Amino acid sequence: MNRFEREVSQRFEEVARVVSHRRIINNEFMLVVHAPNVAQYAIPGQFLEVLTGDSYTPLLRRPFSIFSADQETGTISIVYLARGSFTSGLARLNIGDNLSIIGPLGRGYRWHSTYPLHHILVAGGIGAPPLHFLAQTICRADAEQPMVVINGARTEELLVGIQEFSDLSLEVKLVTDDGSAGRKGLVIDELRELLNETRTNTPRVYACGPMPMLRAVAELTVSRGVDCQVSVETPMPCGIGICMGCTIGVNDFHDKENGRTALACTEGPVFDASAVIWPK
Amino acid sequence: MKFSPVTIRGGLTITRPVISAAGCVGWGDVLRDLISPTALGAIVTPTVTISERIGSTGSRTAETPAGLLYNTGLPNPGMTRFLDEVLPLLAQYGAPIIVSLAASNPQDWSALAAALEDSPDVAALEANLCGLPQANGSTDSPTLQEYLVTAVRSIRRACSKSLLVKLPPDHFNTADLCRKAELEGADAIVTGQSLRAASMRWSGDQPSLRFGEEGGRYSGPAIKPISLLQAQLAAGASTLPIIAGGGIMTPQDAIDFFAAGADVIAVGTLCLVSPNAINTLNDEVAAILQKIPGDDFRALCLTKRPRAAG
Repeated sequence: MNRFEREVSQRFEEVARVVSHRRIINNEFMLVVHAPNVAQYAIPGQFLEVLTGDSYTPLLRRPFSIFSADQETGTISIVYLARGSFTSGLARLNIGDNLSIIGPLGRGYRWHSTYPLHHILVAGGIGAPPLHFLAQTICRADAEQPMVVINGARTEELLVGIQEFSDLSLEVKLVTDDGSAGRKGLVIDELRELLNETRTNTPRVYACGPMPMLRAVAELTVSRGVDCQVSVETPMPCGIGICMGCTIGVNDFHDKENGRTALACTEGPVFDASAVIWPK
Repeated sequence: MKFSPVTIRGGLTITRPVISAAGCVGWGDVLRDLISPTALGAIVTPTVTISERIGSTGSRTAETPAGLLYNTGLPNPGMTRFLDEVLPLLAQYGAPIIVSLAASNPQDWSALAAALEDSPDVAALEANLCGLPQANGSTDSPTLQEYLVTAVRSIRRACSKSLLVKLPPDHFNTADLCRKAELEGADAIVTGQSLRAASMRWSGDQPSLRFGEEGGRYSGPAIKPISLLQAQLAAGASTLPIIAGGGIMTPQDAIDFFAAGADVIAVGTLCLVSPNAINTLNDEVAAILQKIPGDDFRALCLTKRPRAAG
């Protein structure tokens, strides 16, 4: 297989009907749509490209990580913060409205293992949704697998998925820059302590959040020899591999020496932390 | 009326009214699961250069109301790897393949064309005259004309397949460039190239140019009126088939371009939003044409086309 061959999962362009849409807190919303094909195939870490409205503003789709997928009801949920013109438009959708989605897109997290693992999920702000889907999926597959979630944000009201993570009966560690909820500090501090603790199983870290956070997580885990996957944040105008706008530098088997430019939408958004060349 | 296949000298026949603009089905088979392959009129590849290019390392895209700014810097694997790794995958779509090319000197134009001459999977070549910086730097007429003449002559020397010339988006020179291209042996004209444009980024009270001094390129429905005029100018200056693009989003947009003189429609930005749009548009355009009395869609053309010599 060469690197131009498509190796992502089956994708669908679907007209999705809104089945539930609610404000979680402040400007944080959960949108649930009926999209049976996407729900059938989605795995944690994958995303949707969403288009709303019928004008040319916004012109392009926007990517949203999948928060959860329910194969039985054929529904997909996303959690978003209404803070720009696109997401404010999204916030106006009512039950029964239609929106166009393409998904599931990209490569998700790999979490299966032949040996026991201690799963550590590190979420920064609006990076939480794909990790919620991952936590939910691991729980459903094997509730006994040890797992901890570090959920951080600048301040309490920017923490995403507090209730939903706790509904999964997981160990959740909240961290805020200003100390308004949980520990005051950065998620990387919490992660460092956790890795210092002796736990029975081999740790594996999964992270999603702003690039500086991911970089810190990557540097820490790589230096400790801990397996870590990061879901990177880049602008993603098409999400399907044609606009070439979502580039990220990687060092991988295609070019270990010099690195190369990968498209986050088709080769990611989840990458091995050790493969990413972090932007300056 | 109905669309009738457009036969272009050199071997390319386009049997459906709408094709993909350069790059809009991506490299390889990246869209295979999202488009119905049977209905593509033709595929134009992303631009290929002699050597591999990494492309721009900074910001590559920005959205405006009804428009998309981009500056990818032509990332591509170079001609050798294109032939080995990409072309076989594109061939699986079963649509005629038009390879977009860019070079900065006669030797490279010839070498690119020669590399494609014997490939049975390649139906035609498209010379992208805005691909590399030297073509962007000037709207000075002789320079642009010289660049075009060099490209067309060098390709023509090395390859007998259909040669499409994609014009720079420059209305002052469109007619002259069309005539030059035709004189030098081009087989079709492509209009609707994205426009040069800038985008400002603010960090606090500090502005910076998102795409540097060179600027980016601008496409999407915002440029449709500008592209429509270029199609009209090209149709008025050349006897060659006109493949027109630039901001086409709806079947009515496509019909507008037929009225301006286009023989074939190319869509670009729309493919980013709706990858299967080419197929949908092909059906919708056919449906609109069917409701208009007459036989051939070319009767819609309002532009007086010059008569072919001889």
